[in-house]
Amino acid sequence: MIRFLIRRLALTVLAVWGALSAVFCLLHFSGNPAVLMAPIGSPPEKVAQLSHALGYDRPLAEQYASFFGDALRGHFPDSLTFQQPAMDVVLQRLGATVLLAAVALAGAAVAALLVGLWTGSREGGGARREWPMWLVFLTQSVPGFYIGVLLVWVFGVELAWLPTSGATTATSIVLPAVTLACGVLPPLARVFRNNLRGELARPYSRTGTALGMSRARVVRHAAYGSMLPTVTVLGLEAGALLGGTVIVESVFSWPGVGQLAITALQNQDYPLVLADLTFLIIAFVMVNLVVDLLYGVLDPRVRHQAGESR
Amino acid sequence: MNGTPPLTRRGLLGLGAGLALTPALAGCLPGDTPRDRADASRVVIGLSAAVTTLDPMNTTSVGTDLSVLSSVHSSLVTREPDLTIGPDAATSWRRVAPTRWRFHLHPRAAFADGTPLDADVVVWNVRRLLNADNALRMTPNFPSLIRAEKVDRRTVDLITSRPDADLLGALSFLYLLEPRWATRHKPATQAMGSGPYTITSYSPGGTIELRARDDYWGPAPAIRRVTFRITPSEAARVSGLLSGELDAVAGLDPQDLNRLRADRDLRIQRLDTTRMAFIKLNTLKGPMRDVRVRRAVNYAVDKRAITSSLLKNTVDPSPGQLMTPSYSGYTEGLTGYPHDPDRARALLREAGYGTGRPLRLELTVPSGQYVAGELVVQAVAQQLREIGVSVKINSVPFAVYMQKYLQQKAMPDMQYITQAWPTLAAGGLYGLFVSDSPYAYWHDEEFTGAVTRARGTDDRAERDTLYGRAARRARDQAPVLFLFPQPGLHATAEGLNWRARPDDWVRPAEMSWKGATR
Amino acid sequence: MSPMDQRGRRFRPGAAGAIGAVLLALVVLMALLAPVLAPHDPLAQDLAHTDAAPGVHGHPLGTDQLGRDLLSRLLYGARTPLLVGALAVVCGGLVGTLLGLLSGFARGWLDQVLSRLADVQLALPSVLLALLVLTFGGQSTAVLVLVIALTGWPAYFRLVRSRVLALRTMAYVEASLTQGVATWRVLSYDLLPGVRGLVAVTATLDLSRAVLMEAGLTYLGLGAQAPAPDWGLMVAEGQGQLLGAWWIAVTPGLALVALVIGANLLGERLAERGGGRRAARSTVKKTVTARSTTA
Repeated sequence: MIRFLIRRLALTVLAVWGALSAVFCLLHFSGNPAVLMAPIGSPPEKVAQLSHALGYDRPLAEQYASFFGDALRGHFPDSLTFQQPAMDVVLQRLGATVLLAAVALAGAAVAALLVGLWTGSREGGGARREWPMWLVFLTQSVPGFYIGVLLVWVFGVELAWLPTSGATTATSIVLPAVTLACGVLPPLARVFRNNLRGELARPYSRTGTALGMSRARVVRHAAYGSMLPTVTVLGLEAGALLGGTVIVESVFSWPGVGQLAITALQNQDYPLVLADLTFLIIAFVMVNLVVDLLYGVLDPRVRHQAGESR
Repeated sequence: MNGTPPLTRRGLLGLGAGLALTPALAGCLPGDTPRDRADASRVVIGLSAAVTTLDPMNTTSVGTDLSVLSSVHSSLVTREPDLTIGPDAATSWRRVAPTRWRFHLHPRAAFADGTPLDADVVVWNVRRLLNADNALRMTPNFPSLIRAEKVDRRTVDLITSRPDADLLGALSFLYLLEPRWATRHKPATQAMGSGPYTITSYSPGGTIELRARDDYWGPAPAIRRVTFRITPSEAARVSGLLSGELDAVAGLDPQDLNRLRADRDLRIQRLDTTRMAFIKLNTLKGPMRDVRVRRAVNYAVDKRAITSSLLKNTVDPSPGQLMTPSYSGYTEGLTGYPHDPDRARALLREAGYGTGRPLRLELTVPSGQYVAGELVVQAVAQQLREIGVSVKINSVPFAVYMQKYLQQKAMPDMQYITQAWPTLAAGGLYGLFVSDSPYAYWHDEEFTGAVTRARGTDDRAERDTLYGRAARRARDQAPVLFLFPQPGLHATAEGLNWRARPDDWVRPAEMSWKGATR
Repeated sequence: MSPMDQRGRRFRPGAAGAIGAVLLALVVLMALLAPVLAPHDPLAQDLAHTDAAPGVHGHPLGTDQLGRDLLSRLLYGARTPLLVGALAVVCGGLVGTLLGLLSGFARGWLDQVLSRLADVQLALPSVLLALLVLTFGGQSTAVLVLVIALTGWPAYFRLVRSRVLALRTMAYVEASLTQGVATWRVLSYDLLPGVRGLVAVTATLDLSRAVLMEAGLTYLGLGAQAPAPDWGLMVAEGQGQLLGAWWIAVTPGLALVALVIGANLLGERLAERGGGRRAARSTVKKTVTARSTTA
């Protein structure tokens, strides 16, 4: 357990270090980053002033060290468009993204459960049983933004059932959440379905059937057995969702951190892009860490496997 | 992220804001229609861009930031819907000396916290505006203002370095903060003003809610509750109008005209704006120094095809004019450059361009700033390609675009722009084209001479003759690629009274529901 | 794993692979033959016939808001996603394969460093990383290719490395090593042929990931710029016109889906045939697609 923990934590530290180093290098790639952080068209003396205030005139090594502290504490220069600390703006938008991601994840989990039960609980069955898996396969080959555009077209424009932009009414969340859920449904549905199949093939299920248990009961037990791996994938996808929000929020103008990153980029508000993306990347690494640790606690097999394969 | 105090606290705030969104979403039920809102004196307005700051001196975006803030704050004077200057916090004003304006303040004018809006407030605000350390975005609009002086409690003088006819116009953008409040709060994210409304909900870039103040000192607005909803995409604005989620949207794209007209619950107002759209040519450097090239691009573009297709005939091509007919000093009888690609090619050959020496041009357009701007630019670029000119389109944020244009003096060969002058006087608008104007990128003695003399003459006939000479000179020398007036297309829910303005202001205080009790 | 690799009567895997190959070939042909097949110049505008419905005025797929022929744009639009996708796959594949060979062959500290590097790369969200690089490293096709390759190499690396580790214990490799054959000869004659099939399979599946990512970034405005025909950009341009002219956005998206499905089907079929054991197959699939969900 300790070994697993240490390995996992080490990877996290490495990942955070790698990400921040990459950000640091990119920032200094073009020379003085103060040019990017200063309001557009600031005179040279203003840039120099800001460069000093932000410490960009210190030796690179020193800056490199302090950059980590600043980034982890959320200290970034002020947003140019919003004229307040960039991280404040990001955090004000975080709630909308968390809400969207949570709804999408819950929706995807329910859908995966239904698809898995429908296609996995019976042997064979042909196209009539298999069609949901085909749909899932198709979903995986469709870019997220295109799913979003199609949903806007059908449900927003042609049928006019649902709002297609912003977070204005209670129903606003439906389309972005469905789009986001489509991104995580395929792995979830597959893992659950395949594990369900596996459990049903195991002796305890066969014994249950032989002893005259109802099919529903056998499937229920097998489904319980398939939960753990499904939950792990669910957790892993929670991190992936953070990346997906950038595109989905842009399609639907959802006022979260993902859309914020894109509008900041369009407005050349570099401090805000920096704060937003750094925050999201670190959040992604952290979510994955928590999920892995939880899974390690829940299932001892993982700890050993992880210990071996790494 | 680790748990240092500021982040954790803010993080919780952020999460709290997000969770607060849940009831906000639930509170706005799908059954909410324009009719329901009319009964409750509510209105929902769609804005094309996010409100980025609540500090009225740190923004110049009239259509978004300042429209919201004008409801919360008051200014000395205001620009009325008919474009005249009217009273706001100042009830009267006059010029007591060439460089001294005297303003008498409304006796009951006061801020929401009860503090009176008096001469001290004005003096403090002018000082804040002019303090270079504050680096406020509004400051460059007051090039002549030196200081404010208190005469008595309700009287204040503004002093300029030179006689400045534009001061009043600029003052209609200057919203007054309460000094003590402003030093203790963050004006960028909080607001407490002396206007007809107070802000009840705001997050950077998010929806904004206003409520009418019961203790407002001026005339009570008919609309009691206002929601400004940020709808950056044109499609979202149109679908919001069609579904009844939005009551009023200004500056719509004519592409959607037919769809909007087909909806009987919407009222469409088409009006002539005072803005002229054209593609400005940098005559100071590069290929556009040659008047033949400037004329060639004018001949190459089929303006009529663009207005009839992309703009759905909401406007007519400009007859080679820099301003619309609503300006005083407008010259009748000019004709625009006809669409004549052969002539354009011939002019280019004459200027020395051809297969051996292709003409390459850069064309910049500010993203999302002008109605249909990006589409028009693509059409123009393609028509130029058809006469053998290769055009590179750059779409840049408005702030960057203006920066390059005015501060860095680095305008590209061509840029899409719309220009207007608030006083609707030819002298003002032509002032943007005289040699010493930073806007001009055109040094023409004949034009500049005519305009300067016209500005200095009081004889109307002589003045109009001089402006006519200037207009014909501009048509002939083509410092721009003449296009058309910017289309003005506004939509409101049936039953909402709102006289669309030819400028960009969207003010809920100017709206009312038909048959409403209040 | 997909419906296709479940044993049973559902679908003949060969047929699925063939469909994939045909789809992929079609898209490549579209890109290559665009100048021959396209009825119009993809940039030519016809302002008198904007937003024309499919089949009207001699435009089989209709026109967009500037009256440009959508079929022509669709054909030319295949070029950027294919080119960027293929280049990214080649770059990522080359780097990943080389490093994997080295890592598995040399073992020791080099292997440790490279493996941790791949772990770190996989632990970071690819789309966010791409945004960061495109913001601060400049927006150009070259950077776009590099950034897609950057998020793709660990898949090749991991698979090649583990295969090389296994091959090293084979008699013929050991024989070469003990006879003192030069390292580069062992790498290129003994080990490389052993991983070729694996790399080909990975590359096919990686192509779909690369195309998805290119399209997503272009949709966000970070790839090809107007007026260039590009599928992702065309969807973005048509999104505002869904109300009156849905075909502008919907058709290029369908082409994109066909390309990705083609690469996915073919890749799975190749994995099934060449990859051999089920376990190996699922690793390929898992390693490659784990990152693609965010696109």
